[in-house]
Amino acid sequence: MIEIKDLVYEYMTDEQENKVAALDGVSLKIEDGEFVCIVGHNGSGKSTLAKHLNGLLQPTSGDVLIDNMNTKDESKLLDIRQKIGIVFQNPDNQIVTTVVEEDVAFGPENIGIESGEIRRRVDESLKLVGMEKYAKNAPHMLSGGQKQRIAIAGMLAIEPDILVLDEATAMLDPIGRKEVLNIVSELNKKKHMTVIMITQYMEEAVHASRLIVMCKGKVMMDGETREIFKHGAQLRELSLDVPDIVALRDELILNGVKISNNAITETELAEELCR
Amino acid sequence: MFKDITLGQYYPSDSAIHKLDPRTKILTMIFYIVAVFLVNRIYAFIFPAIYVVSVMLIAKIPLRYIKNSIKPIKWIIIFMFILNLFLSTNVENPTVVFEWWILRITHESIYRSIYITLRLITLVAGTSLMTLTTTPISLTDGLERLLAPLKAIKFPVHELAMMMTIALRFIPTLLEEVDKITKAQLARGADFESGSIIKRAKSMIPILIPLFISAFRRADELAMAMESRCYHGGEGRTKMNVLKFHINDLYAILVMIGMCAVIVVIQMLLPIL
Repeated sequence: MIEIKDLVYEYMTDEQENKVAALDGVSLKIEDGEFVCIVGHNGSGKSTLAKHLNGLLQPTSGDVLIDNMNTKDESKLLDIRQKIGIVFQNPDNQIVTTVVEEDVAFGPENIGIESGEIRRRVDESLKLVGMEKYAKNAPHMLSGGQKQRIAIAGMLAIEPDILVLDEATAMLDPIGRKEVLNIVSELNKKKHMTVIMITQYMEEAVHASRLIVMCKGKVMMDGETREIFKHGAQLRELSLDVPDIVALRDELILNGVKISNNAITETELAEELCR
Repeated sequence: MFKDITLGQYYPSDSAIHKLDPRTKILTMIFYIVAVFLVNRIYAFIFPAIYVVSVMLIAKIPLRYIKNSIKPIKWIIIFMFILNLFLSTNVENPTVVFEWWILRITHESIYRSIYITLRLITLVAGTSLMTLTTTPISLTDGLERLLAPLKAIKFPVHELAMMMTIALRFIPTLLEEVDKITKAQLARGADFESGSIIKRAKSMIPILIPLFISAFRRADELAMAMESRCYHGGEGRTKMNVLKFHINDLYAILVMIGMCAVIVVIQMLLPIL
């Protein structure tokens, strides 16, 4: 379970000695097994929030607790990082070695697991992301989506309870994005892994059951994805847009088509219309 | 265009030599260098030569790779040959073959030149066997293990190995980036081909600066990704692929020691040439 209490993070801008708050009093609670999506614009503080989750950044004030371990406690950092895996935006800058399977083994090697067990974890993680055929390949020969799957496998090999994707799909093409989204949805459903997906794309939020909207370092909206998509006007005020399907749904309702404002995916909307 | 570059000169194959422990290969290479320096009669170079050829045959590496490995140092070899031809004349009663002005070639200096040339060639051909049969990454692994005792004197063995690994990992990535930046600058009208050497060197600046900036950014992100993956230095770290000595490793080292012994004994028994 993740508990964030009144988290504030300030940094100095270079020119004037003004403090800028990247995070301005964020309080959140994320339960085990949730699939949460955090959306927001550039500069909304969503990536800064991700880096607080495993102690890469330390709060100016407030606390971040992962299973009741405070990220401020340096002796607990390694334990926290075993519980929470973060996949970053650029797949190229997360891969450490020149062979795929050795890269996946990097995490477990760091925490000192014996070699037979590492082997098992590496094989299993690669299978989970569907990359077992590429175990001996050189990472730089793979596509962006494949590299990102390797990065996810590298995290899975640590066997964390929580997986955070910090704009992990931003640099991928539509196919790569789909691959990654499918994998994390599966992990959430089948392995009951807590997934926190940070993104700028509202379309991706559809996969999550809970949606958190951030703006200027504050949590603006927090609730069930379906409910939040009912407030299209409010989202547009934060210059975020609802997914195309939701926009279409709202437009249909506005023009007198008698359907409920519940559908958020293509199939749901089609079913609604055929009723 | 850089997607298919190979690092070093590794020749992929599935031979017994390739499967040797990298530590064995490093050790045999050191023994080999010792063996070559033990040679002090020209005829004895036949032993390192036989060794190199037979290892290449076992490793299924085409023999032309010997030529390839010597090619980069051919000027050094030629230079050494000429230098020795004219300079190694300070022996008692030299047999002069040729004399003109201050230049003098003697029997002894010809002998010396051939000797030095053979030594250089066998040295380079033999040591390149290691890089031909070992991937850079397993070499790094082997070095890390071999140098492990130096940790006792606070020598940063693990850090060095990690730096090597990351460097090897990022060479293709950075090459790709150079390609991208070059094209971007060309599209903006940059000219890399005309002008004097100095002008051309200067025109590299618009490639190097973006490259450096991005390399630093990458380093920063990589550090964060590594930390997120529980990296905290070499302490308490384990390995998935643990290096293990096999019976073949023992044979390889025995062969090397045997060769050193043969060279020493034969030269004592046959002090000709």
